[in-house]
Amino acid sequence: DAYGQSARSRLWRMSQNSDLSDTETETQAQTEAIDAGEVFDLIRNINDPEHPLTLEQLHVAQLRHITVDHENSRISVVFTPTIPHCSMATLIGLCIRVQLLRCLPARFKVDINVEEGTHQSEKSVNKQLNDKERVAAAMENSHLVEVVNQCLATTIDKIAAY
Amino acid sequence: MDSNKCTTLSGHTDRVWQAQWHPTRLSLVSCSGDRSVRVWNVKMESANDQSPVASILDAHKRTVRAVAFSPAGDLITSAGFDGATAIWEHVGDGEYECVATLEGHENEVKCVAWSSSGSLLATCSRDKSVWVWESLGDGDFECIGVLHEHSQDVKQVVWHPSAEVLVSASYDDTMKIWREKDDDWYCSDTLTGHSSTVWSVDFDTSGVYLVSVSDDKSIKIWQNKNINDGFSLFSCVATLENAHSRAIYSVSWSKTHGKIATCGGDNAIKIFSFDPASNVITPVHEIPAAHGVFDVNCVRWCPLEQSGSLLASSGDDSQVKVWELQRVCA
Repeated sequence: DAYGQSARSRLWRMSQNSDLSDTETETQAQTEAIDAGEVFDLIRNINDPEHPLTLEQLHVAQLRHITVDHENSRISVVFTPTIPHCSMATLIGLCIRVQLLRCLPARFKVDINVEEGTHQSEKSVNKQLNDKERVAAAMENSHLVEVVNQCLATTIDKIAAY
Repeated sequence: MDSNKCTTLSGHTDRVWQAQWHPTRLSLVSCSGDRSVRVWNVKMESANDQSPVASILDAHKRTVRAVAFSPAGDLITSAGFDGATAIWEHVGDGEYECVATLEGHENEVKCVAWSSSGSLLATCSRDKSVWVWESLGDGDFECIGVLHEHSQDVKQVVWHPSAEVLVSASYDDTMKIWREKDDDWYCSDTLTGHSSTVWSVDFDTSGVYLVSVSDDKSIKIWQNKNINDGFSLFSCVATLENAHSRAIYSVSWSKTHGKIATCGGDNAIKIFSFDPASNVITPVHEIPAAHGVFDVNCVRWCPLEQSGSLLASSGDDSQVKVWELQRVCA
């Protein structure tokens, strides 16, 4: 979609800092090593659905909770809900997933999980976030997409400003 | 490893969830996140990138999750995230017409399956239910059972190859066996053992064995020596842990040569054999990166005796592929 394309092209412009055409940039991004810092840059400024603060400011997302296995194209993001009964945990995880789906090269397999012991429904939140069919269905729910886009809205501008 | 001969069917513009064979012709029907259903004639000898012979664009208002040809091959059913199940009839010239829509599920329909006789249809949904429909002819279908025993989404429904016995696989980590008695459908058995979502199941040609694959990355084989007896239960006779390195999304048990094909989130297609004498599952072949860097969502062996070594796969790369695996199946 248009939003995803814009997010991707800005990310690559940022990481390449050059005026290569989109396809050339894409080819480079496919093979370029992406590290945990870059993944963190993509999600740190996601807005919390309930607070006027970012996931970084709330310590929901932390650099030390991101691991990138470049060789096997795997990324693991662990996030920490602010309270153990946070009803927004699934939505926050979905925002992280959508942002990474839209911004990272397709070869990456991304696992998103709640930090162990920090949420009362940890298992069910994790299961839902890592079920591709559930995620695909969620992304066809226009209300949910609108909420996710709001949480991601300022993220893109902040990425571009780096 | 053998080089794998393969032909590519291109036309979908989003993830292809499923591709299913026609019962008597070398044709496939596929469905996608692009909301379309497409029909393909498979020509293994011709160049790559064959185009569909028919496309039902906007078959559903959302993702089309599952499709199937009827056992007579004259109808196509499609199941959509819009909550509907549609029946399509070929009206000539690559045109399909919607002859019936089955409504009732509260949200995403995830699978649709015909019984071997073609008289029954089963659907399942995120609403946790399994529905059984009877075909009355002329595009009329009557719901004869609404089955509510799964505690979570139902991912797939598959009929026994000859008996009117249905199996459902669920996000609740179990499978359930459904039977009819005195016009009532009931659950006769719940198969537990997987530690996460059961994505897919399939019977062997005899219907004595059932194979299941899961998000827990394992393959399990279940046996029921007396399927026609409603009191006879399935037992797990073999497990292969870590058969794939990520979730396993689909399994197909060949009715012509008995090999088991699986695929999943690790981009691989794998072929296994099962030996009922020793209850051992043995890997026999692997196609890594079958759809490049993308997940493989579905595998299906061709049901035709003379073409049983053809395996159809569909992936997140928007493509359907057909693999010639003659040497593996010999």
